[in-house]
Amino acid sequence: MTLTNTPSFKFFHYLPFPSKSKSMSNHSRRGGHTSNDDGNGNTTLKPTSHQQNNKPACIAIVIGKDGTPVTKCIAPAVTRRGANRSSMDVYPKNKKQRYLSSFLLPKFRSSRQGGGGGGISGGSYSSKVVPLHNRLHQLPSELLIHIVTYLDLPSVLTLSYTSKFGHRLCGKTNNYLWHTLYQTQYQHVTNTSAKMIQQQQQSLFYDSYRERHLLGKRWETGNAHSHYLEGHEDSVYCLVWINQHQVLSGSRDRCIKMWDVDQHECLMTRKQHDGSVLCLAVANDASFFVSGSSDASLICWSLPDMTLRQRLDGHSNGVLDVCLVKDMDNISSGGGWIVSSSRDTTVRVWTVDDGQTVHRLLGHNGPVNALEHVKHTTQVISASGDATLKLWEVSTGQCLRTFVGHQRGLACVRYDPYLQCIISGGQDGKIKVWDIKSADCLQTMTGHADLIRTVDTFQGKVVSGSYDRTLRVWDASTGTCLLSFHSGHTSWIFNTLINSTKIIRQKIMILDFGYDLKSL
Amino acid sequence: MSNVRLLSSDNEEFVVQKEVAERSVLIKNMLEDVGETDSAIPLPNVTAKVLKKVIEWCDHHSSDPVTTDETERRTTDIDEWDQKFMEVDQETLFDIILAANYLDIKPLLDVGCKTVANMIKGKTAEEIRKIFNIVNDFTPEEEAQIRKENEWAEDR
Repeated sequence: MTLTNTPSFKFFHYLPFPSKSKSMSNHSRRGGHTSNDDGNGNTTLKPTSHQQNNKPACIAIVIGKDGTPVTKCIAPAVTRRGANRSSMDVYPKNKKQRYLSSFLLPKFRSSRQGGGGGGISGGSYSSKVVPLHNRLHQLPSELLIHIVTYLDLPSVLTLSYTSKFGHRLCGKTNNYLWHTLYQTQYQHVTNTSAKMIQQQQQSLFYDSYRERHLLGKRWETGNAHSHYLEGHEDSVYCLVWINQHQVLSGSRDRCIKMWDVDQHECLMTRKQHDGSVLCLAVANDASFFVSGSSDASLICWSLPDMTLRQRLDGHSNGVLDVCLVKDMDNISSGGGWIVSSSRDTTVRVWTVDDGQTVHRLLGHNGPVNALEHVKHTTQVISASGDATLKLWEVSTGQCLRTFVGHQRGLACVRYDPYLQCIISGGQDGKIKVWDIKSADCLQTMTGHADLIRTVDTFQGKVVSGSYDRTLRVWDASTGTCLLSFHSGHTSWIFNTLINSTKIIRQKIMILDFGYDLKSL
Repeated sequence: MSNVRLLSSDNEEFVVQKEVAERSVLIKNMLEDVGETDSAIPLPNVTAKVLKKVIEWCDHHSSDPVTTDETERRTTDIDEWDQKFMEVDQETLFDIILAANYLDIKPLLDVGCKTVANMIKGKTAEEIRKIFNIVNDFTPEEEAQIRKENEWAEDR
């Protein structure tokens, strides 16, 4: 615990504004009093009203005696219930409906008494003498399933307790029903990997449903298994997925490490840079990756063996971020571009094949801290210390759009293909969600008390890590904060990764929401 | 506006406006296939009592827009008129559902199924058994076993 990842002052310099400029000193002075900033009467005072009603679940990460971190829910989320589980729980249980069902009950009783010859006194009858048939049983099964899809989960299960008939209808062996329920409830997440669908075909949909349900509940309550990955000798600056089981990390100790996330062990270490490793990007097919360093160079590496392929020189200052863009017109050739952004205020486009510079993208007035590839296009978004975002066409080197709205320098940007939105964060402590086509700001999410250093997104969920040492999980479409993690980190959070079951953040800690859930 | 004649299973004839009758996709398709006809359309699966209710529903909803959006159909609440309409005994309710299914009137089928779902929602197993006259044929051990299987769904 003694080895905290306190970053050097030098690194902090990369982030906000061009050094030596007057605004820089201004802003850094203001930075110490972020909480007072609200008094300025600017857009800080515009938190959307539902955010005030909704408090995120507050999760503390406590380090146990044996050194393993454990998540604890200090205060559960305060939300309007419907927000998260809308699709199944369709009707509010209002008085009218209660009236309706109780209205049906006596009518039915009277008809049964008529059928039974009127001699049955309540409660004393044995089930054998009731002559009236059960109409529910007689409905064709597709209609029964139609009815069941309108039930909430507890009611479906309760129905399965009523009788063997109910159990055949709603029990786990009715794979068709559970498939239908799974699709209605988790429609938005079913476009997942082919591998998963294959797995589901082999197992019961009841089990898939159960695991999805449990995972959803864990995300709601912050119930995760957490682990540290230990090995770097200094702060970890960047993290990137290679596949579902492996990540790469880059550190101030100038090393790049490959980790097995499931086993929590370091697989390989490489040291070729003469400065901190600030950024990493892995090719989609995981055949190579690129690292960028404060030594102003980039290195292209082969995977899986991590051998050095090529060094890219050209930037005049530290390389702050890098991303890879496929050439959509020549996919077969395997060609494409490496896009890098630098403290020298430029963005460079290099060819993957021979490492030549093809474009220098000029326009930002501050260090370009972050880059993001827009999936399925040849466009990238850059986020700069000059408080703007720019959308670029990589093949031509043209600037397509500029996103203006943040008040201070930007540190991070992500594109969410699920929402088709850009998510950005920076020194003003706000996360903004942008429409990529119109450049309109759709949401502003407030809550962090300091610079937002990292955001990541997965199917509409956004994770943000801040210099206020907390990690938050947000719903990008509603702008609400779902979870807030405290005290797991003794220092600034630089980078975080999310997928449907895990949040990985630095030092390196894994928050695993999917533990024991095999099918996900 | 032309009229259509419908014949129930117990041989009662109903004269209905064409656009009202065409809420039923079955009848609509029949009319398209047969063209103009003077003879009554026989509906052998629907009694006069139920057909009367169904026609009443179709008449009230004759000018509703047709929604094909599955999620929209799923998530709309039962409106007040429909709630009142569905305040019938269980026999009739199930008959209406079966008729709506046979006549292919999806919105009426939805309302019927939602009404039954609302009767089940939030009830205990014993309450559900009472409402639908379901006989519990589990042994206590079997029931305990099934409940154990589903422990994951309990809100904790």
